[in-house]
Amino acid sequence: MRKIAIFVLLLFMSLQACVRSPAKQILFDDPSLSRVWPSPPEQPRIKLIKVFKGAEEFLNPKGRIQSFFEALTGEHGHSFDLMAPAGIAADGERFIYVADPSARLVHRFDLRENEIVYLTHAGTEPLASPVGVALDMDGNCYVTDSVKAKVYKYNADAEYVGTIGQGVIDFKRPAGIAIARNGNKYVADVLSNKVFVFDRYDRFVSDFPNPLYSEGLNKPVNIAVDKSNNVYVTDAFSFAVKVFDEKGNLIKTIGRIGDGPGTFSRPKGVAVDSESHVYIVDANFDNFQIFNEEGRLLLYVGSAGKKPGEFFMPNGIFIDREDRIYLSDSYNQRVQIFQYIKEQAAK
Amino acid sequence: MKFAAIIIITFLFFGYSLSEGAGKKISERGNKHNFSYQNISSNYRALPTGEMEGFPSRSNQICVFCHTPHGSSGEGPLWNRQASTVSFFKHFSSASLAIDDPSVRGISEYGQPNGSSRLCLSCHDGVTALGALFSTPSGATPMYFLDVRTGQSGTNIHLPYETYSSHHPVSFKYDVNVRNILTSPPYNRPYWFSPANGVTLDRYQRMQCTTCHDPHQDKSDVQDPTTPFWTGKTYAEVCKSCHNMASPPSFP
Repeated sequence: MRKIAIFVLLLFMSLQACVRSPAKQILFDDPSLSRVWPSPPEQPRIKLIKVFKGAEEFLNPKGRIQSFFEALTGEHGHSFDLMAPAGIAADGERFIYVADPSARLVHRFDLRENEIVYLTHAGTEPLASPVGVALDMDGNCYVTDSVKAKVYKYNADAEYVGTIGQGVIDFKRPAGIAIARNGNKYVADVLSNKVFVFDRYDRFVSDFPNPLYSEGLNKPVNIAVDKSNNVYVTDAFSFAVKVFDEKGNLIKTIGRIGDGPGTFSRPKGVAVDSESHVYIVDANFDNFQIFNEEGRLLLYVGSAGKKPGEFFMPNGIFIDREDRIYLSDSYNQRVQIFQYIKEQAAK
Repeated sequence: MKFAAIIIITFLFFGYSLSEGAGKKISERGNKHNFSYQNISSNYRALPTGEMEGFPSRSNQICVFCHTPHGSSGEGPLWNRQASTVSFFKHFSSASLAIDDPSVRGISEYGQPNGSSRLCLSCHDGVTALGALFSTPSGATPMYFLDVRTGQSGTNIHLPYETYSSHHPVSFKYDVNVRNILTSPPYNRPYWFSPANGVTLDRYQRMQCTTCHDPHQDKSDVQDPTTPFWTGKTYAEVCKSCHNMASPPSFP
């Protein structure tokens, strides 16, 4: 009965979206925010442009979805805000997807229509622990579920389409997922110590590393891919990010265990900007560190706290084609968005 | 002969799970928090090769997986030459291993997670380690759709945000003063303040994950997956250190 209520609710939510006029356009640039890194007089490289917690501030007037929900179920006091955001992805124009494993759903924020859709099920199967999310060029969304050990696909209308790797790959704990410009998908499987590669048609292509020819992975948790199809893998038990070429050969390692700049304690999300700088989040340090292609430290951004530009056990990170940096600030239960100021522009 | 060997091997493997008395020490095989590659009785462990650039032997150093040793890259960030190169952490500058921010001292309100609980949650996030600490029963609907009663039962007592679904809070100060408030109107809740039987608060008198769970060794008489790394001999003994109840506590 409850499930039916939810389906009806979700149906209403999508219908609701069609009739609601955009009440408040969410702009990326929030003029009230002024933080930049590094601080003056150094040349600014990173600018904080947006902080948002989810439904409460996203929807205006507040609570139209919520009142629908309450009318349907007779329950009150529910919130649709972010709970403990993990993986994050955006198309740079309209959609931001945030995986929220504690809430057992993926939030889809539609910045153009001011609408939120929740991915709660894969068909009739409820999500158990959605941790990773990635978008392809056609707007399809791929979600990794670390408990169900599956990778689900949704189309651009947030409708469930199917799983990938079914019957071919025995996922153990898929977590990080990234999609290259050529449409290839890379899935980091924590327990398999492998990265699985699928092509743009979701066909399994290969996996790496091959322990016979390359250094192994040791609990890979997050992943990113750059414009040259190099693959960056956060390797939790190595306390480092390992960089592989398109063929899966290890080409370098960034960072090592430690408690100071250039090292890691709990490395989490990884992302690459348009100039091939590598951004690596550390949940224990409450920051992300930026490295150049050679693996030298350029900058660290953020510190422990609850104010804008401060973090509380951050997790996922994603960079869109406009070099906007989306960070899941997990225990502050929010997303913070930054702009990378290009080296050319900065000069 | 072959039969005897099977019996012995079976006993060796299953003997672990049937053993009574405290569980394996962190330094021993069989302790699930021993991530050394040599802990072959656990399927969640480091690989013997290729980890920790420059420190290949670390895959056998059981402490570093949770307790990060000193170290930095030795160079300042190129985009910010004025930046500090000192530790991001404060915890090693103090006498104990607790990560801490001095500004939270003496505060009893939720600021969770702080202190050592952060160490637990930085791995138990659903990825590196499963966030089973925080999950709803298998097949349950998303948290937003749970009613209060479902949300508070069983494993859900650990849900991280009481605003969504009440859970057992951590990272708050618990002392006689806090107890007195809770036992007086309007709360009138039955609470003790008698940390004992392995139940300990941290050095700022805060309840943490470690108040009920000893991440280094399960101290319970019979190891039970519903009370992993338990600090006391029995389930009830630990709960009843604070909860003044005749029977094993529930969380209504």
